[in-house]
Amino acid sequence: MLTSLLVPPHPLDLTATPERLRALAEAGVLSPTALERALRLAVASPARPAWRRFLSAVLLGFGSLLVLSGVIYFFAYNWAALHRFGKLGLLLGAILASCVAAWRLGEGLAGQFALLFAAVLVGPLLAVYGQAYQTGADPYGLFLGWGLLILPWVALARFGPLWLLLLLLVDTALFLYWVQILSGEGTTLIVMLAAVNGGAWVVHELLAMRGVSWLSGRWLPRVLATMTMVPLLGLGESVVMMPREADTASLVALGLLVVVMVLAYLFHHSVRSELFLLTLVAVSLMMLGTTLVGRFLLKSVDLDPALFFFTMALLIIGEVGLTVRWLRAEARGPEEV
Amino acid sequence: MALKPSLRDVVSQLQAEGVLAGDAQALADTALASRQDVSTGSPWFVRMLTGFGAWVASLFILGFISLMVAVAEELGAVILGLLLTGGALAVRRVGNNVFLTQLALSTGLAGQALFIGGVGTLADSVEAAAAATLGLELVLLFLYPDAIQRFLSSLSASLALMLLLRLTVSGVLVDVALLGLTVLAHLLFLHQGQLQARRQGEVVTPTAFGLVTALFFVLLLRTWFHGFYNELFREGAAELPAGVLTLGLAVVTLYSAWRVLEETGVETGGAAGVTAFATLALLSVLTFRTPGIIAAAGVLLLGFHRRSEVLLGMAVSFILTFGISYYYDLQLTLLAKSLALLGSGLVLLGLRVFVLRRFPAAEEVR
Repeated sequence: MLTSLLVPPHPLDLTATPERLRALAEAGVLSPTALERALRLAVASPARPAWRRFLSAVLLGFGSLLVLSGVIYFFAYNWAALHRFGKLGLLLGAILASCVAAWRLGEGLAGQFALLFAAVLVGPLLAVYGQAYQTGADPYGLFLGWGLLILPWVALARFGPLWLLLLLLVDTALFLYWVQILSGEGTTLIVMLAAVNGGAWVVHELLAMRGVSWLSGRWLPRVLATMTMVPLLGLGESVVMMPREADTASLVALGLLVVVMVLAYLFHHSVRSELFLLTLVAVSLMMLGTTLVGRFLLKSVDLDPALFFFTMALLIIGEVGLTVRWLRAEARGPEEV
Repeated sequence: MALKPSLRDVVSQLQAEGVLAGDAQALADTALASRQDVSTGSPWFVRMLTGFGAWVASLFILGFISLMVAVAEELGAVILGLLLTGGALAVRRVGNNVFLTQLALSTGLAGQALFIGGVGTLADSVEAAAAATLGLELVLLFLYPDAIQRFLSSLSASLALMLLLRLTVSGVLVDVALLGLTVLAHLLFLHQGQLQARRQGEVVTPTAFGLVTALFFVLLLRTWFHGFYNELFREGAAELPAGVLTLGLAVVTLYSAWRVLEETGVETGGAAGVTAFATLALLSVLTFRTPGIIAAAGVLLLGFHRRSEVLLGMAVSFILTFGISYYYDLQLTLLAKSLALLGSGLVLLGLRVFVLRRFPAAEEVR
């Protein structure tokens, strides 16, 4: 299975874009009439079953989001007339109903949404409980408890958004613990958050490599890769801009970023072709490189401002051109849109 | 799963229709193997990087020019801007090399900014700058053979047109123009296949995307930053009531829905058609104060109709953005808002159940 992901797609399996269809017409494969028909077929409306699935997913997604927001708003209102037992009972009832719905609806999208619904409602339940009984617990405890309580559902649901919710809860708990309890350094926290997100990303890729079917989609690893690399890039940029003021955590972040970039490239070469990942790597390199050169030109060479602007413009044009050429050369797996 | 069909799907369909001969797949295979430039496409994030990179580089070019050349000489800026834009156009028309493309795009953007700024300063008028933008971008839209520049030209020309109307005629006409541009975007997407086959067919898709972006941008300003929008360039300019704008956008969306139903072979007067029209009409009535919601719903419809993931992504993001604004602006208590949210959500979920039960999958096969 892995080998198939690295094999370049057959030219005919590429998406029918107008440019490609025109190339076929220029080569004489398509007559003007055939080209016109082909261009229409390339953007023809999907068949009725596809429309039905699309409408079902759209209505389910927006409907669930609205209902969930309504429930959260309702408890945020903190209705005094409603006794605490009433509030807790309503929330427990909604969670129970969601679980029953998930059980009845089975493994489809609707069942997974029902479980996501139940998982989100655990947060308001803990908040209402803490408020009603004045537990005095720290805010990080709410998010940590929330994450722990929904863990079985997350494991059972086999649903990417639910895993993402769990990761966000862990990140938030870590953030609050670090800021409110430990009063630690911000840069160390950023490295830790990137490490947690990176860990989730690695686990995802390992499971996907083992053929776990529900992890075959690429949107979640893309989000996880971005959540890992962006914080590291932020600290890396600060090191390049102000190297003398960089603390250990920032230096570690820069080192980690380099490691992640190398691993991402190796992953693309040996496991699965992924242009999005390579684009993240290229953007990180471009940003670090541009900042480094800009700083060097301004601080060390003391270049004339006009020449500085000119050099920077050429540098960016060259970098983007090189990146686009590199990405085109590296495109070898299933086509990304 | 990709929404768009593959070349194999299209060629097979043409063979099945008797438009192509039996050996067409082999011929297509050979032809594509020799065209490296089209065999590797650019995903949306690469196009975004290219456009953003060109924009940043153009800022540095502008910085360089402003320091080297006396930009205070307005006429000089206008001439230099035109020369740079013309040079970029010539370079882009001659070569397809990735570095030249990027150089031309960045230099062209800097040239356009210089020209527009020069005209504005020379005439000491924002109106003149807007008119210059409109004229220049319309020319570039048709002459500059690059999808990113065409998208930017379509976007800039649309915004310049609305600014010009706001400054010279009336703010109400801005909303009328916005409706007109929306109609144009919908028509371009609805007739995308036919129009792409014509001369200048390459202009269609980037223009349509530029128009949709302009629509969302203006509605975003009107919705989220209304105070700022109201005072932008012309303080207290008149504008159409939000409900009227929503009505106009709803008519455009309903027309598109009608065309989609026709294209998919669904009876517009049947249960499916009536359900679709009633849903869109109800959505517009309920959200009449936030025109962005029905506008984004229309784009969502077009996005799936034309199998465009990027358009779908834009539509979903803006439905959420305008949806938040809608509930935020409701003059209700938090409790009433929560009930409104719950009610709307339950209506959508109920509609889903209705659609799935009333139009079961087996019926479609039949």
